[in-house]
Amino acid sequence: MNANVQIRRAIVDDARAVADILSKAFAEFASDYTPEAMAVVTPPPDEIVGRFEEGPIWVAVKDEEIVATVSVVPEPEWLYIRSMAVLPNAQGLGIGHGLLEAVERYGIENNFERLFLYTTHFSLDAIRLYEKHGFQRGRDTSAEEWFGTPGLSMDKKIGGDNGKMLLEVKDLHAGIDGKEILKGLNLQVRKGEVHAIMGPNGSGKSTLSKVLAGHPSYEVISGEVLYEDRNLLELEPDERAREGLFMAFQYPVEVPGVSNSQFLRLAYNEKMKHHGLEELDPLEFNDYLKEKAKIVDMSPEFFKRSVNEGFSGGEKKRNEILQMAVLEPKLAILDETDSGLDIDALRIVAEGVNKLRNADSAIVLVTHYQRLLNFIVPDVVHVMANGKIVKEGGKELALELEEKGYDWVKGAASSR
Amino acid sequence: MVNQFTEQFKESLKSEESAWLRGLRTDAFSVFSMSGFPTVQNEDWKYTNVAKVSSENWTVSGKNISNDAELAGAFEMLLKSFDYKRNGFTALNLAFANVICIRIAKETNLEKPVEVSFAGDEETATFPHVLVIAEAGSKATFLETYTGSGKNFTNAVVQIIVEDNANLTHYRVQKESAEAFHIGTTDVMLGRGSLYNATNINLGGALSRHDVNVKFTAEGGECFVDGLYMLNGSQHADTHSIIDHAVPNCVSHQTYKGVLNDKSRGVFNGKVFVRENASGTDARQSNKNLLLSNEARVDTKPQLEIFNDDVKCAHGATVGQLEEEELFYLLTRGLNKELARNLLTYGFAEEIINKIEIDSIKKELDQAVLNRLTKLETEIL
Repeated sequence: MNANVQIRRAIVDDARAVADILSKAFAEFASDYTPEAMAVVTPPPDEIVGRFEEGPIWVAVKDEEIVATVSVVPEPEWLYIRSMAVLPNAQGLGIGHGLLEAVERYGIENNFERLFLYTTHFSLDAIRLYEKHGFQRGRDTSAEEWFGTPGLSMDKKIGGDNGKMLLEVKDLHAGIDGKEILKGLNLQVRKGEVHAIMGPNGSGKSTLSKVLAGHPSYEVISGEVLYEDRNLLELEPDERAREGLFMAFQYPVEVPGVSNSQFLRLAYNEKMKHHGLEELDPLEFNDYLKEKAKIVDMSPEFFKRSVNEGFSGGEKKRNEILQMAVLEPKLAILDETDSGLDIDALRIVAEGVNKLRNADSAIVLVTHYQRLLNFIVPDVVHVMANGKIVKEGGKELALELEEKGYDWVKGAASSR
Repeated sequence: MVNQFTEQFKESLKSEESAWLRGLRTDAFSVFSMSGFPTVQNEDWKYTNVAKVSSENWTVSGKNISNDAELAGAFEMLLKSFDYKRNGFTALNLAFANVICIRIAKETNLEKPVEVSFAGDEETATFPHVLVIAEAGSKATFLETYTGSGKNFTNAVVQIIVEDNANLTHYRVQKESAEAFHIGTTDVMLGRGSLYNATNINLGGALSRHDVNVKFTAEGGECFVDGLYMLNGSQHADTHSIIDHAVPNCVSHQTYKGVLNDKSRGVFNGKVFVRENASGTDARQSNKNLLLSNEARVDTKPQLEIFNDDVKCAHGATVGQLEEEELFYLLTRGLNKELARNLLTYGFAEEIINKIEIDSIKKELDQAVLNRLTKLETEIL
């Protein structure tokens, strides 16, 4: 943030300046809001004074002038953020981020687990700022709900353990039918990260996914896999799943006769039960599922259909991401989720995955091709060859790989 | 030859007022007296030993009073055409037949299903004989259920005619007690452009047998003859079907599924005949069986006999256990092994049950299937 900018808690004497900022900042949206809604977002100074009773207000001061503000209201389930505005001439200086950081610090200090706010779909810059700051889109709110102007809610979990080690694979040797495929693989994944594991056919990518998920046909020869500091390899596949491990299949299996919603509710409730949380009955679950389905743009008609039966390739992959959304895993391994998808389906799937990124969980993308990484930008790229990771780097590595081809890393593997 | 039914037959014949029917019953009873029940030496009864049926003492229940006026015309012709000589059960049925006539009038569309249900009491033998005529252009659903108690013997026959361009949906639900003996015969004749859609559910009975015979009598007919047998304990269920493409350009679909647990035993014998002149026939038949225990057993024999080159036919049978990959998929979603197995089994059976369009019946069957799958029952409903 610009050195001339200072963020501080507002005092009652700032009320006029705060009201002024709100009316200036929201002026550009006057035509998009109803008059009632406009009155709410631009309250007069005396109303601002009243708000000091409800919760803290912050202001940003630049060159001794108040240029931005935000306020919060502590509510039982979250810290509600409202009336955030930055004057047009002070935008682009990182002031928005600074305000959100102040709010988040306040939230953590006061033991809130979640930040919550309402915005409107036309406030594109604001939504971008919130998303950059780790907020996720919640539900759409109707015009009736909020003074005739439809909008959406957004929220962010705070005080989590972002950056904590989630998965640690140490010198893993594993294979199938007596053939060793993974030959000393090492991998570390922390919470909040997205990893891509790339490699040519036969490099062992899919074997790694299956070993992590616990496929009974694969055997671990030696090595260690720690998941949240526990020995993952000791757990049965279903225990792993209930502990938050999820694998999206390259070839999702069809389950005729069982509807998607029956199946998903069973899976969801098994997890809830395991964690001692409340299970959902069919009606409650249906509402939950409807919300989740929006993430992958799936219509509710898919809920009644048998799991994956008669689904196109793209629909099956979307259904995998829907399952991921429903089960809210800590570690999601997406095994060749991009294979067989056309560009539109790929975009929907990738956007779905992006919406599910958060600070408490990690995603491992296993893929042959770089194109998925145009849509889901990884924090770390690993390149596999001959059963090991042979190269690691940032997102640029994927592009370099695309350019030079896998022979480049195959050379690296054999020269070791 | 005198048998356990001889005295009871003499007695019941006294109340038969129709002369032609008295004659028919007498002939039928003498056929039964000569042949007795079929034995395993008979190729059609090779896997199904009914010795236990004949060794019990049965009291014939229900009266065989029939109404001459009602039985006149088409129903009389239909009953007279019944081939009771094929085995001892069909002969015995006609001898004691409690005849019920159902007519779906020409060009009518019945919203509500026509229902018949039979519940035999302990130690009794019941002999329903239902005649169904779906007249030209009509549309209806016919529901037939069997829910006896204790050790009883039900020997039922249903004769159906689906006339030209008529559409009949037929649900046959056999939920007899676990000790019951159930023998059923369904004969169906299909007219020009008719549609017959049958779902046969077999859940009950210590020993049950269902023979279903469908014959196309004019071009453009189509039939679905599907079924499910879900067995546990030491239940034995046998389905014998014959689909007879006697005329050109008819379509038949047959999907039978079996779920066999414990020491249960299933038999499926499906014959499809495509006669010499029946060009343009399209016949599909499949029988899939899921064995849930090492001691369960199924004998399946799909047979196609084709005497014409211009046909599309496919048939197949499978006997197997749950697929490893399917199980793994469910495990990775957090379902434990038992739940995963039960869910896959439920899904396997549901493919047939899902065909049923009467909500109350479908729910009841869902429940019946779930009752057999411990743990799943409470989770899914």
